[in-house]
Amino acid sequence: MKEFECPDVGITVGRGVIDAFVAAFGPYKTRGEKVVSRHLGLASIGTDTDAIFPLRRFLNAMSELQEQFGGPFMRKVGSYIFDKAVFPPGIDTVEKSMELLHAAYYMNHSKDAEGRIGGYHWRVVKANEGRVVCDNPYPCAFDMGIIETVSRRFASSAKVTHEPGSCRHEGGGQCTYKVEW
Amino acid sequence: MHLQGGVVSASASFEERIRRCEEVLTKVAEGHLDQRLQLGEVEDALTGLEMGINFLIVDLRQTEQANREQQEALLSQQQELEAKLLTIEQQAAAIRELTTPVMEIWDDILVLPIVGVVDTRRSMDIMNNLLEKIVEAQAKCAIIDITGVEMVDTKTADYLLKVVRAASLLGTRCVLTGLSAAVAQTLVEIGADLTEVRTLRNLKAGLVDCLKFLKSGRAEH
Repeated sequence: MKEFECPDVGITVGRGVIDAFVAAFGPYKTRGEKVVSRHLGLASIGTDTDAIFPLRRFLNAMSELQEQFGGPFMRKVGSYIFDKAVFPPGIDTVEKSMELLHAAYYMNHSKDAEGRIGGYHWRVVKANEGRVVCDNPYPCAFDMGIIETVSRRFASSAKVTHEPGSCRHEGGGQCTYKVEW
Repeated sequence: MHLQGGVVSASASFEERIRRCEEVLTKVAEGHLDQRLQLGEVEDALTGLEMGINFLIVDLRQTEQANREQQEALLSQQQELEAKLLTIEQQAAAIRELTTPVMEIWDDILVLPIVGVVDTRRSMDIMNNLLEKIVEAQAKCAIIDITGVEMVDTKTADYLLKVVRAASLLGTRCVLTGLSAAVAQTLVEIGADLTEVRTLRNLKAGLVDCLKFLKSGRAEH
């Protein structure tokens, strides 16, 4: 899928992803809340931790921020995902974390959206190395932030690089990240 | 958008990042609102400041854009109003010309029918039009027909006298026709002195009078 393209208005995103977006604003969280509320068409995002929001509108908010501050800001949002969003239990290695990214993705989005909004496809290449193919509608830099942060949580020396070829930021339908640790 | 600093590593010194902030702010002060500070991978005491600068630049840019759009809208409205005003002025001029027609109905005889209210502006137009036409046609007689004037006041009467006098100065004999009973009564009541003006009941009588005048003039020659 291309960046920020959501196929269906009915697809939702969970509160944890919104919280990661807001957390990236650092000391300016109020501003982050206002930006996302404006795009969601709400007076406030409230405090309900189980709340769900329209993915398409949330992607519009992300698109605005990427337009204003570039990829580094999206990378920052991605770096907060592991702490703010829902992840399956029992993740204790880089490999396991990469393997469960796809499951985590659908734990934070409408279950019935499976197959329609891409995901995170992990394959092991050799010991301590693998590839994650991301074909979801989130921006490239955002996924880079997620993969870097999650992998480094279990191996501080983990290195993530974008493989040459297709890139969603360049209009492609997917990005491939090489993960080494 | 221009990101200052490329990829900022954790090792970028405090001084270096402050220098980048200064650079960006200088460019913003020069009006380059597409500048942004590149955020580092690691959050520290300066990150908040860098983000704050970025947010302020975005706000400034949005405000500037909104102001520009508002200015453009105002300019467009102004141009629209000016065009409308011009049309109104052109229409007013056309109406003025239509309301003060001077016609040559016979050799050497002009007729100026006046209809409706005669205000100062219209008085001037009537005077100018008639005198211009007299000079142009070298007319010997002019009939001012006020059948269509329902009311006259001191100013109107005064103006009529002025028109007659001005026409006389150009060697043209003026006749006033179409005075209604009400108008005649008003003229008497307000004490308007029309003794030097030849007044006749209607346009037909005025035309007959002028033809007689012209005939007698030719006979004398």
